[in-house]
Amino acid sequence: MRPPPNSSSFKREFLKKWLLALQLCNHNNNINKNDVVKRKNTIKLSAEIAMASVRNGATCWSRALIAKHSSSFHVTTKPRHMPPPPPRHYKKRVRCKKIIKRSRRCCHNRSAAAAVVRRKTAVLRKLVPGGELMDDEASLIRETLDYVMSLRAQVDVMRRLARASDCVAMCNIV
Amino acid sequence: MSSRRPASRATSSTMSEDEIITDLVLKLQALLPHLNPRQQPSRAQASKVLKETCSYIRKLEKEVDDLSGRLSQLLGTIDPNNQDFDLDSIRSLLQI
Repeated sequence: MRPPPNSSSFKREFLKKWLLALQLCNHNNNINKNDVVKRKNTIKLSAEIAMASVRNGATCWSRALIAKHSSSFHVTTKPRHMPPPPPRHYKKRVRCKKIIKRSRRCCHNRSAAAAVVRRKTAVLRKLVPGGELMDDEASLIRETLDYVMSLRAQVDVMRRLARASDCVAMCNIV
Repeated sequence: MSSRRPASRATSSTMSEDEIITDLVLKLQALLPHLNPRQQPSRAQASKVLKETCSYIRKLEKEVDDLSGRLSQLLGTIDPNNQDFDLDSIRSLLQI
C-alpha cells in the first residue's frame, strides 16, 4: 500500500530508499571523497529516484523520473511495477494535438485570457515530469498536486538531515 | 477564491509554509472540474494559480539543489556503505 505524499510513512519510506540509492550510486561510481560536485549530484540524483520510487509507479511523474534515471545506475532487482512503455501512437498524438492547436489558434473566439491559461499550463507541463505526455488538464493538475506534495516531503527530510548534520559537526568542533 | 482577502497575498511572506501549501492545494483543487462542476474558476484565477504553482515547484527544486550542496559538504566523511549505518537511529535522529 503506497503512503500518501504528505504522511510520515512517506518520509520514512523516502529516507530508507534514499539511503539505499546513495549506497547503490556510491557502489557503482566509486566516488572520490574529495569530489564535492560529484557528491552533490549523487545526493540529488538518489533523492530524486527515492522520491519517485516511493510512489511505486502510481503516478505518471514518478514513472517519468524513474525512466529518466534508469540508465544512471544498474539496479539488480527489477521494480515491482515496471514503468509502462511510451504509447506507440505518441508521435501521431503529438502531431494531431499540434494540428488541433493550430486550428484552435485560428479560431477568433478564443479570448486572450484563455491563451494565457494555455501558456501557463504549457509551462507547468514542462516542470512536472511526464507532464507533456498527459492528455487532459485534470490529470496534469492531479499529477502536479501529487508531485508538489512529494517534493515538499523530500525537502523536509533533506532539511532535517542537514540540520542534524550541522549539529553533529558543531558538536565535533566543541 | 474571490472571497479571499487581497491582504493575504501581500503578507504571503509572513505566512507559514503550511499555510502557503494549504492555500495552493485548495486553489489547485478548485481548478479540477469534477470538484467544482457549478463554480468554475475564472480564467484569470486559473492563470494566477498556475503561475504560483510553477513558481512554487521551481522554488522547491532549487531548495533540493541547495540542500544537496549543503549535504555534500556536511556528509563528506560519511560512508553510506559502512555497515554501522543504522536506519533506525538515523530516523529517530531526524524525528521521522
